[in-house]
Amino acid sequence: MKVLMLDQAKCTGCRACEYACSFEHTGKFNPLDSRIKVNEFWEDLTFVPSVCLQCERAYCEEVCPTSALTKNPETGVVELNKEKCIGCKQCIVACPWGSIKLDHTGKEVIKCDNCGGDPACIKVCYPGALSYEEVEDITNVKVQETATRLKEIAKDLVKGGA
Amino acid sequence: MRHVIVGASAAGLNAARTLESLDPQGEITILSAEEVFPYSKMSLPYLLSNKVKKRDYLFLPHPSKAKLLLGQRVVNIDVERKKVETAQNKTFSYDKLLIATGAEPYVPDMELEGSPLVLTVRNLSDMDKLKDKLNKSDVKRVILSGAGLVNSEIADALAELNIPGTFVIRSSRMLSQIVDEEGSEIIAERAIESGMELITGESITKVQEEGDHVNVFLSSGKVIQGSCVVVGKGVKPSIDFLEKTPIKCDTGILVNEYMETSVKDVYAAGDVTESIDLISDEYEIHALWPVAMEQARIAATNMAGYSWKYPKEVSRNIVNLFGEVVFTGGISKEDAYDVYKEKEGRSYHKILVRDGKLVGFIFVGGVLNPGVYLAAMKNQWDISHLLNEAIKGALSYSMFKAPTREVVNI
Ligand SMILES: Cc1cc2nc3c(=O)[nH]c(=O)nc-3n(C[C@H](O)[C@H](O)[C@H](O)COP(=O)(O)OP(=O)(O)OC[C@H]3O[C@@H](n4cnc5c(N)ncnc54)[C@H](O)[C@@H]3O)c2cc1C
Ligand code: SF4
Repeated sequence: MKVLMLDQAKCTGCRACEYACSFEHTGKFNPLDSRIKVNEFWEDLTFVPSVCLQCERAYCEEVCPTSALTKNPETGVVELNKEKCIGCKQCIVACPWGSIKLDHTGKEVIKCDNCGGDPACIKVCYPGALSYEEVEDITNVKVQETATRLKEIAKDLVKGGA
Repeated sequence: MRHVIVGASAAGLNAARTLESLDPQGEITILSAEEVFPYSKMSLPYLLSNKVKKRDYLFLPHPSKAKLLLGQRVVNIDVERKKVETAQNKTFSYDKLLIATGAEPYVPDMELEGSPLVLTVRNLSDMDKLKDKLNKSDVKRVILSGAGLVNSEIADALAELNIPGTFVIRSSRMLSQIVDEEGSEIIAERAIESGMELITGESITKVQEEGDHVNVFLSSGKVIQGSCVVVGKGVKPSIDFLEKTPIKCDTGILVNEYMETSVKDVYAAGDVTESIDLISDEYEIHALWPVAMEQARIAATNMAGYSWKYPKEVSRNIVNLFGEVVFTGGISKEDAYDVYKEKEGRSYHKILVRDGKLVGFIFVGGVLNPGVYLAAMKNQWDISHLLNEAIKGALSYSMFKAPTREVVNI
């Protein structure tokens, strides 16, 4: 199973992903129609992309009165079935992260669908803040990273103690 | 562990789903008074407006292991022997019990009760009756007694179908429980444009059937005609069957922070409960779909042997009315604490802030991330540095969790 991976440290805040996302889904370049959002923190010159986490037991899915939102067990994506959606917007209030949201008209519900397995956002992210990877690979990388960090801490402790 | 759930709707079924995953060995029985398979009550107005494209979409997902028994109305609970009794003369023993019997429409005008042309909308059968009435009557206009959430949603659906409606409102305005005067005014303007008529400061004194329509007499002496009357004056929790039990109730069942009632091993969730409101810090009825879901998840988790605390509840509503999204939360019908308002044409934003924290809001249009507003209110995040963004409807999650590179890198 592949997931969208964010490495915030690499984001330069160019927001190309927002435009790519909007274009992929609507044919127009409107950041308000983007499923991914780059949050800008000018005080710290930090940029943080945020996108739907495809939660295991998602609040949006739980609250949907017509089961228009369901988790696809194969792809892991919480999918929105437009045919079943009645537009009640319970889902967007339920998501504390604002990852399922309203489009530029303030009326239609939109959410990240990993572009059906070929995310447009990652293709324009030249600094490599966004990638689309196998869960297992990410887990391995994370384990490795954490271990490395702990090793450094352990080394410092040993030095401090000596 | 034997779990018995009374009521098979939003709360009952979400509890069953939670129990199925947390207590896979457990035996789960759900008792439903209704004969039809559980469906989503909050979608009924959308069934009327045909936004529910197939009737099948209305039905809630099947529980996978739980036993669902239809047509079983619980009439008493023997809390000593841990048994529930149904009107169908069956008894069910439990180790843990969940009461999720929801609420029923409240019809204050006694004279309106009993007439086949005076309807309420709570169950699928009610909606079928209304649809049938609309199809058959030569007079199309629907008389809406009360302009609360449900009747406003019904009116919105009627507008979609180009059917005229007349609100008869005892108070002076629409949605007086959730929006202030300015908000009401904009919504009323839109309602009128969509073919609704508003009669305020009046109530219905008599309903007289004539052929397949009704003559409705108002307190001023005026008489209006309609296909039927839909009464929407709020709901009352379904607790009659608890009379002989020691389970503590006020208007609804009083639950503690674990969603447990005053009787051990008896839990309650959804519209039938009263729980502590975060903003007022008092017991209140939060008769809302998402609240029923959340309360049920927590109640079921605790029935499975965990001790999850339920965060205090806040009231909130999101509803589509006459072409606009109306989103309210917390204290919204009046002004209190620090009040910020922005009105531009047909859009109206208001936020109420207490000690830098959000305690209420109204957005008629123009809010990007409603979920973040609710999270900010539930968690009482400080928004004192974000007032400008907040009033514009532009709050986003990361504004609260400003990460630095160091934090992100860990
Ligand atoms: C027309 C309409 C529109 C709505 N719109 C919204 C909205 O926009 N937003 C929102 O948040 N909420 C809305 N609601 C409210 C929402 O539907 C309720 O909050 C929700 O259904 C509550 O779920 P519940 O499981 O607690 O109770 P209910 O849905 O009321 O279900 C309780 C069930 O228990 C059964 N029962 C009762 N007594 C017994 C007994 N003694 N034995 C066995 N079974 C029993 C009943 O038959 C019923 O099936 C709306 C409701 C209606 C009717
Ligand atoms: S807006 Fe659509 S997807 Fe969201 S909760 Fe309502 S029906 Fe489900």
